[in-house]
Amino acid sequence: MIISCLFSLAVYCLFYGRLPSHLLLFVVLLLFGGSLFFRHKHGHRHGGFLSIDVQVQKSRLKSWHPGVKTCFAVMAALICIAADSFWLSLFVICSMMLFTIYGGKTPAHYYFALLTAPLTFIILGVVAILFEISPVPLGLLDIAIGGRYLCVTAAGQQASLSLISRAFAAVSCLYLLSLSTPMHQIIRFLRKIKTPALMVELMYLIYRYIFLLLATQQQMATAAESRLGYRDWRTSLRTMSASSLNLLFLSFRRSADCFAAMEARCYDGEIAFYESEAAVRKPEILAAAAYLLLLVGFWYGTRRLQG
Amino acid sequence: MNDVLLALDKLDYSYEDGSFALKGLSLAIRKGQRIAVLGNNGAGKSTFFLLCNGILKPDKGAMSYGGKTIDPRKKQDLMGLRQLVGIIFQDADHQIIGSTVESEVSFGPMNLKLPREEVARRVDQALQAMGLTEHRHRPPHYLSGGEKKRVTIADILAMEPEILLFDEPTAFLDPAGVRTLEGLLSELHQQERALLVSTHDIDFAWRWAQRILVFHDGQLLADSTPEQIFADGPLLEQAGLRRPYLYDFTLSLQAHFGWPPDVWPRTTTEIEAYFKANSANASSR
Repeated sequence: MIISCLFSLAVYCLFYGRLPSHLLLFVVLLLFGGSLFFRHKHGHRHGGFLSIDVQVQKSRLKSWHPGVKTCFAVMAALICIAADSFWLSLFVICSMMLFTIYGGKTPAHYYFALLTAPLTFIILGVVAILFEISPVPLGLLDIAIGGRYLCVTAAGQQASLSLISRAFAAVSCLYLLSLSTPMHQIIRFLRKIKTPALMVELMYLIYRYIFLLLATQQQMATAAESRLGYRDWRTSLRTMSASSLNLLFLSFRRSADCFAAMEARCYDGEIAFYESEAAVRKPEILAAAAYLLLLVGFWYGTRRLQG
Repeated sequence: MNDVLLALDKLDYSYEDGSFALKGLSLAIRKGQRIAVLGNNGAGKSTFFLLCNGILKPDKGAMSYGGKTIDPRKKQDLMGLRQLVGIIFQDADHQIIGSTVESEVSFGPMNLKLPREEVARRVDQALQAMGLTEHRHRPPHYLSGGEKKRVTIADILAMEPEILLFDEPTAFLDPAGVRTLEGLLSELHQQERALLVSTHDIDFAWRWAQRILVFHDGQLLADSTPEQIFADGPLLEQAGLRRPYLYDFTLSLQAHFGWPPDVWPRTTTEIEAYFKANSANASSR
């Protein structure tokens, strides 16, 4: 609900004065209703991030070489950020969405539910840029608050729009990667391109144990709920603090157990695995390169138009 | 005596607060033995396993492997010991670290710094032995409990140890998983290898073990054959154990059906076979 309101409000302010106002109002109401309907239908679910891993296993893009996918996603994101063009970003957002939903067969409602998390952050971040406080009205939209004005200026709109579109485009590129590539493949690729071992190992262990922690937390939450631990706001707070503390202790114990199990297999400070190699296929590289070239071409085209 | 693998001599191990976890532990594990380790929770079974593998270092006492003295504080000795003595931990989730079955099983051999081809060979072999070849590219945390247990066994097999320590292997398994595990345990039993299983399942211990260690309160109370252990009433009382159902049944067979006093069947099939053989004898007479 809050996200839907925020989202619609942000869209309204962003496009105020750029679109005919009745059209804008219509679009905003449509967005608001749509997002409410969507949340109602696919409600919030527990362990959303756990199931990323499940979705990845089902993705049809899983068989693509992780190196190709990683390079593709990162390059596309970099081009969007560098190009700073609203239309290019929009193109990337839409095409990445299509790749993920139609190419990878990730369920659309799952994809959009997953997008709400970064979207909230992006919108909250943009609010600070979009609004200016000034003693005199100076923008397209001025809201008087106690002798001062909260203004939306054309420059602010421009800056926010460029920020939102770039951030959103980069997120959709990374979503293509993370919804089609198992974490261990990404990590293995990072290791191959000589990312510092400490970083890769940290990433690895965090990824590995996040499942344990989440599962433990879920079990405790269920046990607490069955004893009315979340019956009202006050009780919920108390339960949450108790279960967080418990989680901390449990994590300490678990990490000691896990470390003993690693040591029992001759672990001496370096995590190394063997995995059979997957071959890079030519059509994959060609397709990825063609798309990236298209983006670069698009970028040059828009620059020529503007310049 | 050259079939002794691991020998422990008067090992003491105490917790940080000074209370004893294990006291005066002496025993020898020989090639080809199937040993069940019994005792209550907190009796010292897990501590015993962790000492065997060098995760815990004894305060006092001596260890040797194949006749050679081992100092678990020396890194070289320690790595050798850990290769030769493998632990399959109770909770597979604590042990599993790899993100695919294949990489998980490769963790041990990779730590042994073996060449890549050798690691690949051992991983293939271990996966095959545990019937996991088709799962090799799957992430282990989505496998079933029984499959996870097999992954953790493959983990250790790939290091090619001579002693396998199973810490309560049936604790997280359903009946089907337990049945598979028992099948695997008899497959794993080889002349060159010793298996130790810590368990609360007394009937399993009776079916499977040739030798039983009973721990109580940080001490090794008894180390003997199952027949002797379960004949010792006061010992069972003290350690909080009971007799296996089949053992009790055999006692009543002895009392009422003239069952020979020196025959202790380990399974119902053995009883069946005995009766069949005897009725065949009777009819031929």
